[in-house]
Amino acid sequence: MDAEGMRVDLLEDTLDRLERDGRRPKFIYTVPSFQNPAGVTMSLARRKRLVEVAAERELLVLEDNPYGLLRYEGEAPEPLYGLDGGVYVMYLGTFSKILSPGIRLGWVVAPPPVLEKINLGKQEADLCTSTLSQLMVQAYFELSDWREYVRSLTAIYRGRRDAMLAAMAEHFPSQAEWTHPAGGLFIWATLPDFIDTDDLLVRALRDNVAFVPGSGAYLDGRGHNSMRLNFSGSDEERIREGVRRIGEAIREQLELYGTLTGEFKAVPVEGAEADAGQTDPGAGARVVELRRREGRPRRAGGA
Amino acid sequence: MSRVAVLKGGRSLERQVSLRSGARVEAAIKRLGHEVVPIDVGVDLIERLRAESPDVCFVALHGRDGEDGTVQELLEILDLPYTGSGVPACARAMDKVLTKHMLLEAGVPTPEFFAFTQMAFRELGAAEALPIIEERLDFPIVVKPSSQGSALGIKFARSAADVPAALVSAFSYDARVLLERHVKGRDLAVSVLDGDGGPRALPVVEAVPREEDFYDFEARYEIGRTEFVCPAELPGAVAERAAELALATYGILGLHGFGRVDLMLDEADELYVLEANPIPGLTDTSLLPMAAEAADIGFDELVGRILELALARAAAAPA
Repeated sequence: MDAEGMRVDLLEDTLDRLERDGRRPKFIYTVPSFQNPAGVTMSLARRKRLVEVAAERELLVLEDNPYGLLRYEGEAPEPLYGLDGGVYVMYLGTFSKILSPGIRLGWVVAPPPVLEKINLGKQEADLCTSTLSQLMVQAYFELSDWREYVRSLTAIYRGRRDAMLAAMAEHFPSQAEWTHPAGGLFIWATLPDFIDTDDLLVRALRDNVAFVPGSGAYLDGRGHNSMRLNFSGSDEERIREGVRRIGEAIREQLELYGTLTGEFKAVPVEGAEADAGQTDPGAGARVVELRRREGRPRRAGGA
Repeated sequence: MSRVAVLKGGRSLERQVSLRSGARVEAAIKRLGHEVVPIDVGVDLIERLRAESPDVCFVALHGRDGEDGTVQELLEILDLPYTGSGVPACARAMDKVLTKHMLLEAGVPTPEFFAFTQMAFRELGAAEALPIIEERLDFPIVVKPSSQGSALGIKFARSAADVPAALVSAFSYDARVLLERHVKGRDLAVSVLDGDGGPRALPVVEAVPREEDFYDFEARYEIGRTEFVCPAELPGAVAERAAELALATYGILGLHGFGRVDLMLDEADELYVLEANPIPGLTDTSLLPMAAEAADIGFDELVGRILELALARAAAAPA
């Protein structure tokens, strides 16, 4: 993945390798718009290529688009579903991000044979979603000006995103890099390699501020010096204060590292702008061998 | 029948383990025929304890607050009997640096180490001393925060280049960290349980990494990558010596009721004490219950005995 979203060339390499190993993937999962956690959006060229790859190899693609309507600037690229015409692409939408987080209701658009299977699986899993909440949501979208409500949401989130980006430019050291999302809810920041964000989080928690450490976004130990920052839930003032505290914790660690090595100084950012989209939020795609569960996980109670 | 408050959870980094320990202890206390008052430790702790007025508190907390003497101090103030070690023993055991100094003074072997505060690096130029330390300890070096439980914040420096980042990580957890010589060998734990005849060492548990020739210190603590063997397959003399060192450590720190001492056995069959835990885990995968089981002491009996010890200590204390 990079600033243009999924690296489809690396996807193809991975699919080739899987084919050589005699393994067939069930489907390709992707959040093409404002990806979680990186916040980046797949370019139109990549989308077109992904759809081609799916058709060439007769593979299903699951396009998960929970954040697509929360766009703060620019034009939305065509969804994969539209490009593919609904042959290999299944599309997922949710009301959680545009109506109410607690509503836990979404929709699926998929080729009819796939939809049939999904219906069957869903019935088996939860005996169908509550009809009452489905009817309420249906009535809401029929009777209200939902587009206006989404516009008001995007205005709020745009302000919060801008507050967070501005606060990061002010309080994060110049050695940090981060994405500049055009929508969605997340910013992905990458710090110097010697900072472990799992440990930094413990330090930040002492100041009552939290973020998601980057290691949580990988299965193979990468992302240890990255973090996901979410600007959806707090107002602008709290965002500014939270970022200030995280920035201070980072600066403290940079300074300590500097005194330990004598080679690395914390440099305050002066009038610098958040570096838009230049960041590579993670090296290329790799197949991660998932450890098979072997009975009950064992762990000492610690303490 | 007694009314037993089980203190669990709290805000420490080991909250989840504590909740599991607490739940298992509660079930055992019920089976023993007592009344259980579960308390997730928070700002209303004093208020809850006053309102519930239990006969005794089972402290199933791990890490900060619960294991470092803080909660015990509050229980002393409220004059409530509680399980496990008292305030000074908890304070000593949770401080790895103090523990190691006390062990060395008493002649109990512990790996060579140096400890520093963040201030020492910032204001006293302690970084200048790092090359000397590195030479004295030899690589690999273990870097750990002085006061954390579990393996939290522990890093493994393979060369001088790894040391600064390891220190930065460890200082995220505590203002004081130690650099310790790595003892290559087997990872042992000896649990100690008090009884009529005084404290007794339970069978040794060994943590065995599942993958051969793996040398990844951090992975050792990952779920599923370590297997626990109890009783550990050791020559009789080594097992006896481990028990002896564990009991000595228990006594030196002044622990009470129960505890767990972690040791390393090197390739020359020398044993070193790493640390002691005043409230080791009590979950269904924890080492103390496992060791008790190996000594034919079931979990209910274990919990029952810990409660009796708490009540006996309270009865013996001057009013």
